[in-house]
Amino acid sequence: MKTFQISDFRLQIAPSRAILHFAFCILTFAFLGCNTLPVGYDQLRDRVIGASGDTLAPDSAAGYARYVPLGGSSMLYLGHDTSYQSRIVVRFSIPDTMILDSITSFQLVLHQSDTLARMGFVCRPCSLEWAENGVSWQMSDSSNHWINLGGDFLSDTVAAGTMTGDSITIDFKYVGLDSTRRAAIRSSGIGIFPQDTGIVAIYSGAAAATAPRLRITYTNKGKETKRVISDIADASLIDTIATHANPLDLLVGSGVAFRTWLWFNIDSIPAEATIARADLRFRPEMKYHRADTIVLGVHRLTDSFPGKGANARFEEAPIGSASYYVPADSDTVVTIDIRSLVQLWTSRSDTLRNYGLLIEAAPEWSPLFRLRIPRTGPYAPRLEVQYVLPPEDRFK
Amino acid sequence: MKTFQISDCRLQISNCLRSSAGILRFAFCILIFAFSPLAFGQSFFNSRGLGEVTPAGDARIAALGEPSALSTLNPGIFVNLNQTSFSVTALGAATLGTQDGNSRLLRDIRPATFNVATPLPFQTRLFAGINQKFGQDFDVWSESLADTAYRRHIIGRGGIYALRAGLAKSLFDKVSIGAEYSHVMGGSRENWRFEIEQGGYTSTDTVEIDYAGNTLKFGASLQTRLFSLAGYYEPSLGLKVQRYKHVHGVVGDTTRTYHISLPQSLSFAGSINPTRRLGFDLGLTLNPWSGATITRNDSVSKLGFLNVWRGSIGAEYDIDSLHPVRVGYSQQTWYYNAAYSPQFIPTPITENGIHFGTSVPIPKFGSLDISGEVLFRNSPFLKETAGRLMFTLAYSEAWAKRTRRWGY
Repeated sequence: MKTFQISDFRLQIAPSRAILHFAFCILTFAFLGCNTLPVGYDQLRDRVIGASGDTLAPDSAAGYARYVPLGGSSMLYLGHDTSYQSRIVVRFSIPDTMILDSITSFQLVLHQSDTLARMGFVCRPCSLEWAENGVSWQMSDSSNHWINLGGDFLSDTVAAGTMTGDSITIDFKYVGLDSTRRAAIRSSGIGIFPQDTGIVAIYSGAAAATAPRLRITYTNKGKETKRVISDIADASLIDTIATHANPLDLLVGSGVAFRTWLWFNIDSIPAEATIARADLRFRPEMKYHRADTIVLGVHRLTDSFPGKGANARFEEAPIGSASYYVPADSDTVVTIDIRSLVQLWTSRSDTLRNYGLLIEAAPEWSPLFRLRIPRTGPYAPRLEVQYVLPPEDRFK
Repeated sequence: MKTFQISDCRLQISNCLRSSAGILRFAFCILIFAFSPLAFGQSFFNSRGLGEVTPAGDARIAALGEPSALSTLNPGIFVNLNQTSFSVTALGAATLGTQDGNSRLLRDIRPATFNVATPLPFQTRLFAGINQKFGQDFDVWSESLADTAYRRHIIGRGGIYALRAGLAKSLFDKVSIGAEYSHVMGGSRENWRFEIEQGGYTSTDTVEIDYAGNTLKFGASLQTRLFSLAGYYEPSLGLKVQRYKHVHGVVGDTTRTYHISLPQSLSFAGSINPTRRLGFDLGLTLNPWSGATITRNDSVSKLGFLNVWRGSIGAEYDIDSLHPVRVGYSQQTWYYNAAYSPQFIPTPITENGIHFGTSVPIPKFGSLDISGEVLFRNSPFLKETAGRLMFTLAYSEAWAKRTRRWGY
């Protein structure tokens, strides 16, 4: 009987011991096989050319500002202060077959991002058609200018109110307007003008739930019916009032786009080098900001900046970006990884010429900010490059 | 009584299970060991010279310490060959490298050799085969330093192979002489990857080397029931080497051509069979390669190889008519030095090996020879412990027990 018990016990423990043994084997091999310790690297050292590094200052630098289309952004900015003024254009798809006699109320609904802010505003019909992807303070679309800077509007006030809290619903005088003005609103939309100092952010049509909209109540067969018309296009029109900047300042900013062009001479880096690290570093001086997190992007120029100036084209997608936090980390140096760009410049210099890089806000419709990059001194831009050369031959 | 029977039965099952579990454990470990794709490679020293001199690729010979003059690498080994035979060998290798307290394991599993031989009239034999002469597999990482934004990961794959064909003549059923022509070819591909801090690789520089050459080998053996003597001589090996360097895959692909001349090799072996069930063997291979040169643009320079030898001793005992056991010991110095930074002091690589193995007869086919080797390679700074498991499947036209004779 005892024998039976022992054998039974052994039967029970055999599988668990096997599992333990398996686990031990796996762990041992995994540990020894997975690691990346430098065992044997010394055998190759005489084939390795040591790493080289360089810190480059820009050979050329320039800054420029331009009005950029701000349509399609997630936020619309309304207001003015000592540095900026901003208004909004919005267009709705209002059917021209609407039976106005049945309408009992016609309201405009706006949602505010900063619920603590307060801003009075008025709405006026826009007198010139505009395109969301091209409209700016200067242009009504990508090829036509406004007659007046900042947009062309009729003088009639069709709505007025004060933005407080998270949303506002105000009466919109559409029904009482003559057919010419109604047609202008249908085709060109309305402009929203600030009446107070300060700048507030309003949600754009990018998010359906908080998009600017018209809420229409009308009577249909004796029953009160509501209809909502969301906006089909919107944009902020932003201008600077005073930048207090020197013409030679290197600025980066959103709203009105401030961009900085830098060109580094990287001819000293051999074409066959592998770029291990290429960091663009500088410590900016904050001039204006309405958000504590600022994102900067670096773009590769595809045209010569000395030749084309502010019209020099650049790649739409940023090659690198970095977040900068103010004011808590105002001492922080901005570091943007542009390793892949420097690698392209060095290894494909025949097809991808080094026209320099452009630093700009990412995106340029982000909450208004403007910063200055020092041209000289310890905080001026520097390109820190570390590279390694291909290995030597196996046989020497 | 019944209880006793049940308990006895269960004990047997338990023992059986335990032994089954043991077999399973062993098989599982072997599988993990052999097929895990975590890393491949054979020696951390293979990044230098022409790489490791690859073993003969015959499990039976490997188990005796690898006296290569007694293997099919000797064109004069074919004294007794009554029927067409072939053998194919698979090799599994694992190398544990240790340096500065760090350890890393490399593994490799691959076909090793293929040999075929057939008797011709007038006691002549025609034979052919393919085997690896030098192995260049390695896999190393550079150290990660705080002040560098990258690490290198260098993976070398490849080797130099010999396509062999030859003719042998057997004399008096005891002596054989033979000559062999080899077309040597192969290549290696080294990927120098740069891993960045954030993970992933920035780029890969690739160094590809192609080797091509031809060589002759002459061999002879005397085989009697009591003793055997064998040896072969390879006059020299000239290799045309073409190197291609691909930088980032797109820039500066450059090609260079070298000529490498490797001096002669000699190998001798002897065996003695005091009884029908017991045999001993000795092997000696000489590679006086200090005169190895490389020619580049008409400029000839020495490769810095060494004059080295490899010695082995082995024994074979037949437990019964079908189950031999073999053991061996070998010692050698590699033909090139190891390096150590920062001074790049060349230091020799010594290797001591323990070998063992057996054969399993396969009715109506031939036999499966199995060998295991544990090799201890030492340089002052880097040490390796390598394990090799070799399986040779040998086929004869009609099954017969492989008697203690050399060749086939």
